[in-house]
Amino acid sequence: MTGTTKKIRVESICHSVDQKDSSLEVLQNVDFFAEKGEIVSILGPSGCGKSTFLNMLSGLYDPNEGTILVDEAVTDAKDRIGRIGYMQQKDMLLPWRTVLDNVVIGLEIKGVSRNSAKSMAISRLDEFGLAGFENQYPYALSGGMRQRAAFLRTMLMDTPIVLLDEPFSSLDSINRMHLQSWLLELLERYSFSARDSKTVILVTHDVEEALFLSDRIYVMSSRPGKITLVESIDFGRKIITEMVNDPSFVQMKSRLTSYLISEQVGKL
Amino acid sequence: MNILDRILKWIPAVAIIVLILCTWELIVRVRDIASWLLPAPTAIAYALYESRGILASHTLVTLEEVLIGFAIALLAGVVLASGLVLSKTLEKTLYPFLIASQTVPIIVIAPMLLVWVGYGLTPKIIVVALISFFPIVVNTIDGMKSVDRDVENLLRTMGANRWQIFTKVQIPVSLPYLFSGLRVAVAASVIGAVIGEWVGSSEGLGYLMIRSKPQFQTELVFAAIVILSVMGILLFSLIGFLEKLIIPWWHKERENSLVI
Repeated sequence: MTGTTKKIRVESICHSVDQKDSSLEVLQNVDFFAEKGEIVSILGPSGCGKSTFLNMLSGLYDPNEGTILVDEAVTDAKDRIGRIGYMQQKDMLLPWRTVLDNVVIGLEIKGVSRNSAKSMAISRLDEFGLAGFENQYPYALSGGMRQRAAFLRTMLMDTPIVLLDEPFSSLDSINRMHLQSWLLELLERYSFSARDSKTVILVTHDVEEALFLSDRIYVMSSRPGKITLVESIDFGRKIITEMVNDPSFVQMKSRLTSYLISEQVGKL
Repeated sequence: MNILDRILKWIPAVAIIVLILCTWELIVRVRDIASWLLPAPTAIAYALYESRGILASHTLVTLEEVLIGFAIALLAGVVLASGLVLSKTLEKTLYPFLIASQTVPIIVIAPMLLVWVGYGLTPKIIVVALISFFPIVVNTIDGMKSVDRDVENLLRTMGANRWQIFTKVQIPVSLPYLFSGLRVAVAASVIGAVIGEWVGSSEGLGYLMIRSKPQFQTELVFAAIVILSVMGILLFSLIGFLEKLIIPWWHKERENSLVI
């Protein structure tokens, strides 16, 4: 693994935000990488700086210190804008746009003509379970469908790197498991072609979700956020209902959970 | 909601109006109040019918002032709001003046307008525009600024520039706020037109009121008041109708969040 070039690499970034009369350290010496086609999770408690980290990767701003490399080239925030897809916990569908108009907004911004953007979206509605709903407004959709629409909006941008910030945490557990399996299938389909293969960075506080979806897990502790543990995951075939009973899965889950708890307790 | 429910909904309001009108009529008749002092509702109704020609022509003049003034306020309001939202410098320079302008009593300016721009429709249109301008600007600015930070950031990560964020998010988000402003403005605009006519005019419902009072035609004054009220209500309803037509998603979104 170490010999290959990294799709995205983060070198010792530190970041603080100014508060009223002090400055709060959000990220401390974070090193991170993801290879092409990998799904990497960042696992940590709420408020540990995970979202700040993704905001930086997506190009909203740069860290105070450290570098972010994409395809081994040093970048600053404006280089990354538009090159990295970003989906957040809130679906952020625009209520005045139909599902179809919502999912093409990224293409619209990129300057793709409305007609070709729409036909690109229509060809993929089925895959995202949205066929027949393209002319509905977001309020008419279920939570799971809204997330899938938000995900289609992200995927239509066709960026090589995709950031997912707790994409399923607003859903109930059945819907969540269903969407997790669906996401894996979808990404697997991409991974057959070298060009389309996506590098996914997933932020979550759900140990099971991280284990189920990722090839590697970074554990981030809070205040200041820093990487305290990196784990490689390989349980072979990923079927969530089978996986949850796999002894090695169970073992790793309890190990990571108690690690997270001890980290948290240490902070209190 | 079916038609019967819709009709039933209005019964209490209609009942109160009928009750007030009956009491009014009764008092005027029993105490034999002179019609130049307080005309009975039936007398007002008769005046509305008898003088319908003259009332109609004056109504059209007032309506014209209201509509033109309102349209100017809408256009200027939205343009100024956009400018203030898009440019920090413009906001810092003009916003204090915008707020201060509201403290200047427009009734005081109206006579001066007469001196400056003359006697015709123009000074009335200016008063209407000045009165309706403020709620439109302030609401539109508030709306454009109410954009969810995360939505703005999402679009930025997609590569959106300032103008794209403005047209694709800030304008649609501001529409419900704009309509709230229009509702306040439309009611005020009718008052503005009448004030403009009171100060100096030769036509319009405000002029008719001023002229009829010294001639002891008090029922015509009241007839004009009735027409002005109806005009206000109709314009208010028209705004509501346009709102449902232009931003249907807004009502659905609200209904939906109420259900949940």
